[in-house]
Amino acid sequence: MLKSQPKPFPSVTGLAAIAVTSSLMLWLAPWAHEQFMPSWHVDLRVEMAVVLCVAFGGSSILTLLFKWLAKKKTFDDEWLMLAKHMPREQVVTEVREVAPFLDVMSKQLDGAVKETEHGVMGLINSLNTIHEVSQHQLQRIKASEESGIELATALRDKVMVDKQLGQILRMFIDKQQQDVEINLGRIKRLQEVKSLTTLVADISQVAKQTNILAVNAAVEAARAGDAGRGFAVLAAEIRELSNRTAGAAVSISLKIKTATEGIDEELLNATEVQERNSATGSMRKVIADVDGMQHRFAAASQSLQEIIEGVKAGHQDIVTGLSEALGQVQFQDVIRQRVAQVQKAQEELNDHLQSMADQLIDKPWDPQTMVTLRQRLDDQMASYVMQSQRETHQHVVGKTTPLADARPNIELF
Amino acid sequence: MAKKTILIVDDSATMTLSVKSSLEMNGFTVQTASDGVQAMIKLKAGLKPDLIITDINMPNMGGLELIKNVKALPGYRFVPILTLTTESDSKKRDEGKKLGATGWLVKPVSGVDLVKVIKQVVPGA
Repeated sequence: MLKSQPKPFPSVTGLAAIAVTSSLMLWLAPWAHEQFMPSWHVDLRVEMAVVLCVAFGGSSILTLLFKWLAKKKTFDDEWLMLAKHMPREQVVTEVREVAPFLDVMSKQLDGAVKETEHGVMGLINSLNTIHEVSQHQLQRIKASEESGIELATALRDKVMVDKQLGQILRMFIDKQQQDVEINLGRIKRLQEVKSLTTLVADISQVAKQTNILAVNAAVEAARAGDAGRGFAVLAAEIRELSNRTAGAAVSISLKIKTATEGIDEELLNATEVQERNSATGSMRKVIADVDGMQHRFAAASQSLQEIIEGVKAGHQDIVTGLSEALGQVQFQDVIRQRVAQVQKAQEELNDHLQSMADQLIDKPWDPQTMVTLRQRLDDQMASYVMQSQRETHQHVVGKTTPLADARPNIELF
Repeated sequence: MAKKTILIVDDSATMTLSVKSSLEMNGFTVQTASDGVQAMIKLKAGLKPDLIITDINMPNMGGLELIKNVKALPGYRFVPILTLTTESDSKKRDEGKKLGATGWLVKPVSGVDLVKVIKQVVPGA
């Protein structure tokens, strides 16, 4: 709080009152002397002293009267109030304090800008981390894709070979089956040799009967004596022949039996082979299953490829989103520049106030050369770089001067 | 195809980092400089970028002076130069065009738009 300053004596008001009253008395005194005291001869010096005393007393009365009226606010006279205004030196002292005040505010703004910078840098680093994670995922997927492609290629080659082998195998199996059936048929036809057994039995019977006839012939030949000697020889031959025929029939029968037993055994073997060949059905099923598995694997490879393509597209979407976000953080640089311009304007305001303080104290004031604050404010327009700064200035000062046509934010020459 | 190299010149650390990050995500190799003087040092040391992106209002050497100096440097006359700046004064824009700038971009510019412009001015990008 400021200390109250002693009032100057006499005050300007008092001096003005004295001057007015003295002038009035000097002008009225000769007339009053002439009108009221014509016969009174007074020395001029005495007369002037009396006039001045009266003037002084009158002015004092007038001064007190005016002050009383000013207190009552019935008389507005700024000269009467001058003794209550801030002294010039105090004004200068206050103005000198503007510089440190603005300096503190400027540092506050610096701090705010630094904090935004710190925050934005942290945000950028976080966005970079997100990109790195997505990049790693993409690389893993690409590695899987390469492995998948290799596997698919190898599988495709194997499928080609397997198909060829399968065809050969099928042909072999079919041929096998054909051969087995043919052999089985042959063997079954060989079984017809069994039917020879009855034939051999007939031959044995004929031989037996022929033998009996030969014996009877020999007996009759013996009865015939010498005439039957030739017939006896013939009967003996026939008996020999029948014996040999019976022997051959027995031999043939044995051989037929042996052959039949062999054929039966072969038939049994062939039948067993045929039954085993029904396992080719299982082989065919296995081949079909392998084919089916290959098809399913090919379908799975296709699905994997689609997933990989989806991940790649997703990564690109992430890159696009991150690029947009990184563009948004450019606002921090815009803020920084606008704050810097305000700080510069504060410095200019301080310079102006200090200049005014200097002119209040010791420097001469030249209204012709002094740059007013209004002029300084108008000059700010030339220092702006952004369209938004110019628009704000125009809006605040209320000017309607149209700004130059805005050009596009992106212009290629 | 070899990655394209871009030189970014800006006195703002956040601008440099954000643009660098965005361009690297999109497959470019990026070098940076904090003002025109730093940029000229790098160029004279042998850096041959496919594109220069520069701010205008910078200490030591501003963007317009940098454009002029780059165009005068042997072997760098045809390197495209884009400005990325808050400066919207038409006179400065025209001056930049006269000095040889390829384009004028006013901040903020989205990463997607920046990449689109780069692909237009850099062959093979």
